[in-house]
Amino acid sequence: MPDSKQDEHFRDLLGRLLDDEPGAEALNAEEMAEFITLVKTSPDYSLELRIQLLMDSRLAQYENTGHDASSFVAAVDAALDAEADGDAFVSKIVQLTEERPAPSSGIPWTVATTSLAASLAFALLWIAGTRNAVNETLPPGVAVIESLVGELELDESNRSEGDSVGPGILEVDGYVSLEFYKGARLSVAGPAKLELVDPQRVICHFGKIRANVPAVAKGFTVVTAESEIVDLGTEFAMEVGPTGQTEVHVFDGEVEAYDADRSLDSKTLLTAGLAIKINNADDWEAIPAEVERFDDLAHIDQLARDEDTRKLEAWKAVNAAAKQDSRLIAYYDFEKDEKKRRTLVNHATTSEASDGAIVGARHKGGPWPGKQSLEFKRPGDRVRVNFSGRYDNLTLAAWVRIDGLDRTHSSLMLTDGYDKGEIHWQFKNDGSLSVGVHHPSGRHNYSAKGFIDLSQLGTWFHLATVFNQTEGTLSHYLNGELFAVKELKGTGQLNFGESSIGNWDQPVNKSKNSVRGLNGRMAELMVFKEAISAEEMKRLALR
Amino acid sequence: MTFKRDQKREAFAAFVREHQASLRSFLRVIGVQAGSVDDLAQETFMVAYRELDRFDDNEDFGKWLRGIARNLMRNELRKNARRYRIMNEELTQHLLAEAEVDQSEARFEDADLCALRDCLEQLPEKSRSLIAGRYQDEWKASFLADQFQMTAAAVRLALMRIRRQLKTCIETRVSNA
Repeated sequence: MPDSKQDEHFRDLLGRLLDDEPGAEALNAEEMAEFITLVKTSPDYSLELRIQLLMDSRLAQYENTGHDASSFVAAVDAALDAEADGDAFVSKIVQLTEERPAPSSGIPWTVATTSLAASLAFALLWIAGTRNAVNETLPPGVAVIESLVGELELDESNRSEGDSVGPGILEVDGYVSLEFYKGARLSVAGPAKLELVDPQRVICHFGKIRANVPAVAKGFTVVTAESEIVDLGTEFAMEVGPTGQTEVHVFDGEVEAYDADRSLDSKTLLTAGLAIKINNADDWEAIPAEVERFDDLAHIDQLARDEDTRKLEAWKAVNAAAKQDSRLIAYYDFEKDEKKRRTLVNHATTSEASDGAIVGARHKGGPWPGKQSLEFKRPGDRVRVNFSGRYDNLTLAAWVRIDGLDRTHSSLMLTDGYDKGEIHWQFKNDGSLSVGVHHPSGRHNYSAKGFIDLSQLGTWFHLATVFNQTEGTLSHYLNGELFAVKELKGTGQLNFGESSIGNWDQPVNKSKNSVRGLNGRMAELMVFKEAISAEEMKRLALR
Repeated sequence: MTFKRDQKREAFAAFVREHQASLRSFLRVIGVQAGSVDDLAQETFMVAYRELDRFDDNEDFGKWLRGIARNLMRNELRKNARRYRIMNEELTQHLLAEAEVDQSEARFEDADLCALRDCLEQLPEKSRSLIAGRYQDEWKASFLADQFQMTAAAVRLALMRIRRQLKTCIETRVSNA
């Protein structure tokens, strides 16, 4: 029987291996070697490791809806569908290849096929769309942004982690990893410009990319000005210069490389460990494969985790400052208080707003690991709050995640009823932000379109609305950027009184749109008795 | 086995439903990284689906799946670029060998799942919250430590003790049932 000191050491190593982040607290090579020796020499340790792994897996399956039986079964089913469709898609492309017009038509072949493939993809999406009316508002997707460190624009609009992205021009500054709908994974290091054509095809104008293509996504193709690279199920990387010079490095499996005309004569098979440099159609040379040069692209997850840690630290600074800020009427940071578990503590220095009473809603993970939130799901979920003051200017700012546009109106924070001076901060199922203000001089609804669409469900963002009666404006900010400005149509002091976060109590008209429960999460809510500047908004949104 | 395509898919979906929990636990016990378990389980089922015609009705489907999973793991160990999906090459080799000898943990029946639910309900509140934080919210011990005002080492020991406790509780329940 091993001695107790050794037991302690074994448990320490095992605990770090199972329950901590690879990186900071994981085992170093020496500790790993020690751990393996312990496990190999003692059957007790080996059994303990196996039991811990077994229970780790069962708990992950039982506790986490992302890993439960039905999600898993659905994922396998989707993969089987993708494989079946993939075969059909590839054979269709091959047919098109055979029917392609002679190069003398003046259109470079890549452009012609791309547009054929693109229109085919659109046609497929269109057919899919008409078959199912529920999906008609779902934007056509090509890939999901799995992690993002830096900035990414699709057709010149900023996109964030978790968003689905459709066909279009993608510009990357920083690092991004994309998961294509057919299963291929692509990591990109900026500055890079790509064009997403369909779930199996990308045009790379310039930049550094690394692709990991599982068997189900065989046929994934990267087109450049000078070449076309078809993946046969593998891992490879490319660097494309601004004028189209291309390097292809294959790390695993094999790829087929063609020239830009995709002439069969040019077909070159590259297997693991090989690399080529393509300067132009007539100048191809073999070069040594360099794994290290693309190492950064294999570690985007780690970079994203570092970015999460940075965001958490930045948020902690905002949190500490807010707790001293006398302009705040209410500051709810949505962190669970172990002593008052069902209370949402108001951390503002003033006493104009109450602590919140949590009804139904449950604590869940927030925008970054280490930050908590409350989840509002069921019709009863809400937080009851009460404000005493009346104000000329106000700012509402929150970290929010929306999981569904399932009701006509969804509440961020609504006053009970809708009396004079009261505010309704909410959004509608058409994706518009809708702020109702019962000005003492009359009711008015301020709506800003395009605040969220279905492709952004489940992603976190920072949202703020500023009532500036001094200047007569109402402004909305999304992730620290000004998103819409409206002219205020009424005057007079504003107030909240008794209100609900994530729901609506005492609806005015019981029959019409009276159910306004939020389907989503909130991780912070600040209410200032002043109009916050655009400059400061960036700080609150951690930009 | 011969099926028409739709029938084949339907029959296969039933197999997936029945065997996914055991297969995923099996993969974790032979040393797959937690985050890659579902990935490899899916690949195992994809291979099984393609090879379904070769499956002999008289065989145990679970055992056949575990055979495919083992082969995939051996491939995995050969491929440098994909090693991130396993915990450690040498450790995984050892666990694979152990699994050959001792197959007692291979099954995970519905009864085990019910028992797990009952056992979780019996946990003291703090233990329950630790498990929820670790598995629902997927927080690591160092983050949980801040939330629970414990040291990270204490959180890790507590998680290990709770998992042990749950294992014993499930066994007692299943054998008494």
